[in-house]
Amino acid sequence: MNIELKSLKSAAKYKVIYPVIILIIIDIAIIFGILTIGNNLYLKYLNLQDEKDDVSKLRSRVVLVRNNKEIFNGRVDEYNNILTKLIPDEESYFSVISALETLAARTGVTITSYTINLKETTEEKLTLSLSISGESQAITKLLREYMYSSGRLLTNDETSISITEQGNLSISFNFFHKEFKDAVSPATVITEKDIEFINEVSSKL
Amino acid sequence: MKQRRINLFSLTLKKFDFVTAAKKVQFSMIIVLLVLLLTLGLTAVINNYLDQELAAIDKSKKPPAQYFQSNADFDKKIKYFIYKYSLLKDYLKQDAQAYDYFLKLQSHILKVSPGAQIISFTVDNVGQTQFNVRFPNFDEATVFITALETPEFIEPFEYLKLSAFDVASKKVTNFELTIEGKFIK
Repeated sequence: MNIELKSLKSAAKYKVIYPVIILIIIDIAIIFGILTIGNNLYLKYLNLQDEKDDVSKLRSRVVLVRNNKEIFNGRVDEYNNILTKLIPDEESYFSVISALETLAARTGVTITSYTINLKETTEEKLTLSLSISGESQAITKLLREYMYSSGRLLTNDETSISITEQGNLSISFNFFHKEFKDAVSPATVITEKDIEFINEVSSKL
Repeated sequence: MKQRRINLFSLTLKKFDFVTAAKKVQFSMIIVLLVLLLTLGLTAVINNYLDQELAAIDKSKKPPAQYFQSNADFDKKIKYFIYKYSLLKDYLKQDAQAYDYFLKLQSHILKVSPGAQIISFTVDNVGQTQFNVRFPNFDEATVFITALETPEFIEPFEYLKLSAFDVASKKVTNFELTIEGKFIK
């Protein structure tokens, strides 16, 4: 130990070692500085990439909005009203009764009874089992037009038609409702075909 | 006899030329310092470039953001439309489309057997179907059974299965077939 100390003391006699030590300290300090700056630059680069992505997404959304404006041609409220009629945000007893009455009036059938099918009914679907009577033409019309004729969207999971029992039909209809949730992908493109379809549905209401 | 000892450390120090070694290290450190300064300069350039890019991006972000902001109400309406329209499409898939399938089946059967009559017809929303067909005579029934196996008749179905052939129900002159199958959706 004494020998090492002695050696160092003798080494210190050489003044040339001081600038070396200072240079080493400066180098180390700069290395730390570069590492810190490098890290910051990396973070800045990531931020830049994020910003570029944001701008790219924003631009494509703007293009979509422009395209959609052209496609909707100022009729977006009208189409939304149609869709709200078909699939309301909430279910109401009066809406269902009104839909059944409209369906009967438009097709010419008589709805003799209806019951709620609890087994098939879900949070967003009300399933009613209906007993219907009427002339075969009226029943045919009902089978052809039930989807939109009531003013609501009606679907039927399974249909049984018995020709021998003309004048009577047992059928289940599903009434749908679901509240709007703002979780739609902004990249969804609406096409002319979709608008044509909505116009076609609108004509059947 | 006195044992001789060698002090290796003192021997090294004596022989090691500190001045030359220190100058070599100093030179290396200066080179390292220069490299580091160059690197530092490069980081400054990169930093400047990134700042400029960020500023440019920020500037280019404003017009679309403003456009988007001014059309936020329309965008919300579009989202509503897309949401409900997607629901409509999904719910429509749950429909059995019985009327369309009935017409399709009726015309399909009448092509093969003009005297045939569909007595009952069931179809669900996956296209699974069962139907009863009545024939006025045995010959027409057999012609229909033969046609059941032809590719033309099977075309709209995934499969078809003759599940019952009622020869003597109700009247001897009436022949009824019960067929199960699945429509191609």
